[in-house]
Amino acid sequence: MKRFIGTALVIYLAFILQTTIFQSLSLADVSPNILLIVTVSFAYIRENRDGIWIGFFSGLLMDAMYGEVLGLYALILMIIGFVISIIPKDYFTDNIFVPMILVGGSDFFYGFSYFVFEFLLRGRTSMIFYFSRIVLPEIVYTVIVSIVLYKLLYILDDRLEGKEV
Amino acid sequence: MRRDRRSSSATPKVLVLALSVLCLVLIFVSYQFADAVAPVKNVVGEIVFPMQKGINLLGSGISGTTDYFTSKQKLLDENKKMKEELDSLKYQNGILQQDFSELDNLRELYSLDDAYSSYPTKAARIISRDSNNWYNQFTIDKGTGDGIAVNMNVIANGGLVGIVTDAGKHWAKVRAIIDDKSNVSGMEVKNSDICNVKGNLKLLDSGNIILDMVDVDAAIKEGDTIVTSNISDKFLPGITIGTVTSLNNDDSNMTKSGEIKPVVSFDSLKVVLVITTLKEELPKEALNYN
Repeated sequence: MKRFIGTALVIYLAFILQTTIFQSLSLADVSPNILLIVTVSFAYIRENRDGIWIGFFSGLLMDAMYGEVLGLYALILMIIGFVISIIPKDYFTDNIFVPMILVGGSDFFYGFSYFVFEFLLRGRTSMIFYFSRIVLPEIVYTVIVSIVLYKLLYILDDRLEGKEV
Repeated sequence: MRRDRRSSSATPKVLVLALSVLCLVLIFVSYQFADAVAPVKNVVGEIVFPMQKGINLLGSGISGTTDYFTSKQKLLDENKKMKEELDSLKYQNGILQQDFSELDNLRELYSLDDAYSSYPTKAARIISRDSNNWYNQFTIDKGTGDGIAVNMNVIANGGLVGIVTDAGKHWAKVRAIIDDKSNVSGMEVKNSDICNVKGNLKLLDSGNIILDMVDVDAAIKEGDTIVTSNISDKFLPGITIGTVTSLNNDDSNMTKSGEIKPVVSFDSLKVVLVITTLKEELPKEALNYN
């Protein structure tokens, strides 16, 4: 139960921070994707299907506040959470490089799907511009933030886990 | 050791499939019946709104300190430029004052109401911005409880900012005119030539917006001021949008298109005014041409 409430609180806080402080701290008009980091980190740290649910609910929160339709962002983040949670984790989860690469890859997938669904379908075809101006800066910024955030989430998850047993 | 405590229930693959189907259904339902999902959005808004409001004060504090460190030279240059601008504006103001009194007299003669005078407005603070980098939407801290309704126009610094697209009890969502999905009908001030003003993410760096559907014979030229048109069905007429910075013939040679520099600077926007009058809808009979 503690784990459930703790995770829900983390998602809530991540959403609040992403829409307020990190929008003020945007570099080159791009701000990091905190909810994506949360989804990827938990999906990577935990050995069960939590990643799927976390991705689903994070996305749903985003859709409800800023989406045109409900469910698109939820679908993208849920798939990311699923893919990360099924990759084998034989190595140490406190190694920072693997999650960094996973966050970068996921953000690329997110940017690509978003471009296809929201821009390509409306006839905006200049893919190179959108990728070099929006997607790549977002990946760089998100990966840098994930270095700190992953460590925090890792410690937090240990705490939540410890109290549970 | 960690282990899956719910291993007896559905496997991840089944779960993902089920949730994917749920997402697709949600997308379909919310696309088809937008009104049905409004209560859900309202509840979510009420949950996150108070926190956003509080934390955003902190956020603007941080960005305030970074602004503090901008170079002195830049400020001096800006000051010099503004002084020059002030001089020319004072001069222009003098002329305008004269024109204005003349206009007043003429209006009295014609017994015209000043059509574009002052709309009633309500000030609101921006509390959060769209969480992804693709769109330009933001939330303000006033909602239906304060008399805000969907489709109300939002202004700041004497120019058009956007339109309310969603309203909860204590919050409202505003789509900026620089948003990629924004589309406003505009006109040139003097000749009332109609044009179309669209946001485009590709112009993100210049801060401009797209101007198109200008008739090739229209008298619009670079430097002209574009305001919202009186044929727009959601925007009140006569709100300044910006000045034309470029205009070229389209390939078809039937229309012209170019760019507009908005009068509002969207980067530093913190407080906006919501016009609490809605554009009146035409009665159905007026649209029936038979």
